[in-house]
Amino acid sequence: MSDGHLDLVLRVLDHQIVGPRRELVGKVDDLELSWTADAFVVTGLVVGPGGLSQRLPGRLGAWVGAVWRRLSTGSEPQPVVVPTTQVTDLGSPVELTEAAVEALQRSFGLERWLRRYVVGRIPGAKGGDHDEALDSGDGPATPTMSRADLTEPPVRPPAPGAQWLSALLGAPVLDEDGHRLGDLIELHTGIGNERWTLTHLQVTHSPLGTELGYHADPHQGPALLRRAFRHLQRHDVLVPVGEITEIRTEPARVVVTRSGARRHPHHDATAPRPG
Amino acid sequence: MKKFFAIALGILTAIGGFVDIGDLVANGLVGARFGMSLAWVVLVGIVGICVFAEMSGRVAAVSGRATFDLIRERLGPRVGLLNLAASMAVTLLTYTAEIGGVALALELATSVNPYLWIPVVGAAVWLVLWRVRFSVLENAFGLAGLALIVFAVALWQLGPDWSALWESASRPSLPDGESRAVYFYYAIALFGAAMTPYEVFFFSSGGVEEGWTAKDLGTMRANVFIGFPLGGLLSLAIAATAAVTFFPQSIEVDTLGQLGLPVGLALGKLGIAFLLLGFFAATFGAACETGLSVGYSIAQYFGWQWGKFVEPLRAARFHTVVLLSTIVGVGVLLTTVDPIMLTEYSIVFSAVALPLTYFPILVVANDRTYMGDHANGRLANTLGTIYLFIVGVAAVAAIPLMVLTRAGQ
Repeated sequence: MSDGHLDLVLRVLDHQIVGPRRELVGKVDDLELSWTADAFVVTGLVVGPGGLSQRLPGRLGAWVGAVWRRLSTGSEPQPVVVPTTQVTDLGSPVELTEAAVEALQRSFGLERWLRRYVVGRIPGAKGGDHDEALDSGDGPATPTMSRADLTEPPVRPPAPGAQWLSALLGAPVLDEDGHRLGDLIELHTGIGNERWTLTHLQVTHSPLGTELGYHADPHQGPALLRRAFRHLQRHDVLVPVGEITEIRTEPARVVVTRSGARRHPHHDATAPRPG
Repeated sequence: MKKFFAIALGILTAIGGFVDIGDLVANGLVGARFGMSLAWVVLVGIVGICVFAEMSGRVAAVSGRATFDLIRERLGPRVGLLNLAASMAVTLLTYTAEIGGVALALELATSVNPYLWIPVVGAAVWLVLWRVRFSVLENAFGLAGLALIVFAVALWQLGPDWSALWESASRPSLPDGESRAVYFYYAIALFGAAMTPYEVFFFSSGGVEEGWTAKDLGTMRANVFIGFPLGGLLSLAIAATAAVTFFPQSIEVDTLGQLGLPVGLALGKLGIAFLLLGFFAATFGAACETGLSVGYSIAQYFGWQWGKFVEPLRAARFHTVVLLSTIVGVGVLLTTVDPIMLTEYSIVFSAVALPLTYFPILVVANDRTYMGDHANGRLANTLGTIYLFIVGVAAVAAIPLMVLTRAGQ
């Protein structure tokens, strides 16, 4: 993982996850955020229907969640979180270590069920690149010893007390006087020493099209869309994470200090962007 | 030399693979009813599909991400899911129409009732998607689809008054007894047939299947900029044969058999043989493309393993989706719904779904973090913006015109 600046919503959330051999192993369905003693950091990627179901509206989300629980083994299924230490590369896809990929593949209830009871029973399901480990329908059932020795497992249940990014997105950001600065749409992160530390909150008055990237690159074309989104996002401001005094979920709310030099993201001089 | 053949093969398959049941029906119908006065729409549609297919192919080659990956990434799970539902409804409808088209082509060849053919065709399509290698599938049906060139040969044999054809194409006017609303309804149908969303789903996912990298951009562009326009010329040839044969007599075309009649008139048995091969290959190939597209898009939204580059067991969810959509398609056809009518609806609804697909492609093709030097240039952006506007207008106008004209009555 190289060090640098990262816009979490634009560059990580909802991106494809791949393995070292370009296997496709899901989407970044949510991000797990935790407060440590000195910083607000990203601790993991939430992968799978357990995470996705909470971002889908109403009954649909409940339905996706119910199917996921039904197909999970164990009495109390927990959403799967991949620690950020397992991320080996961030490009258009998010690349994970071999161990994390294997652990994720074991967590896919629907894939394993279909493999065992539907697709595996049709003649010709095995191709030239067939791996005997798949014959049981899921691959190795328990991690090998060398992996069990690792200090941190390749995937884990959600950390207690952690917040999920999607629960904060769209939350109103207020200052201490109750004056509303706008809605939270993006979290800016600095990556260094294998740690993803949140640096700024981006706050807007018009949440339309925030995942499109026009706030990150002031020169992104085509000109017409650039102008339209620039106009919509002209009052966006960056609030340093140090100015947060309170973060609440249900209902989500972020309170920040009143003072502070806030600037538009396009005038971001301290954080050089890739590209 | 090897590279030259690879490029030539790509172009030939692009030509042969361009025409599907939607293009066949729309062009035949419009040619018979409006002469060449809607030919301009085909040209507008071809430029549009070239612009966006090139963009999606470029993104797939440079970043390895196919179209629905980008839709989820840029529109988020909620809007992305809405988009998925709409696009998949249209693509599934098209898939159903293509399977019906294959059955109709087989009926023409054998005089066996199409409802006996439909389950056989469904099983055959699924078997191809289950076991046949991607490159074989693409090349075989693309090349066989080239047999549709008989329409161009037939047109030349019919010896039409070329200057009159050119006149009616270059100075479009409303034929007697047709209303403006019907004219524009069919304009949208033709446009939808040329720019169907599944074409970019399939094209970009196919690029990932074949492992394109930035080095393959030249080949990809040759396919798009030479293959697609020549395929579009085939569409025009179909419209022109119908315009020459049926338009002066005010005969309406509503079966696949009528559509092929001019070829029989001009070229006899041999022409019919090529025609039947062409019909079969074009619809069967497109059935494979649409069937795969349904699986590709759903898998890409959820991040599942997809593709024919891994054994089916590794992409169990993807193959289950393909299997289920085949069963649904066959089931719908067995309700004795008319496949030609299904095709007409599928191309009009395609027009409605167009902006959902093309907007995210345009945005990501501009993202210099992924695309680097391969991001959109000025020309791609100008054309992309203009076409975004055109597809927007077509999408908004499609349903009101459909209601107003009672689907072109």
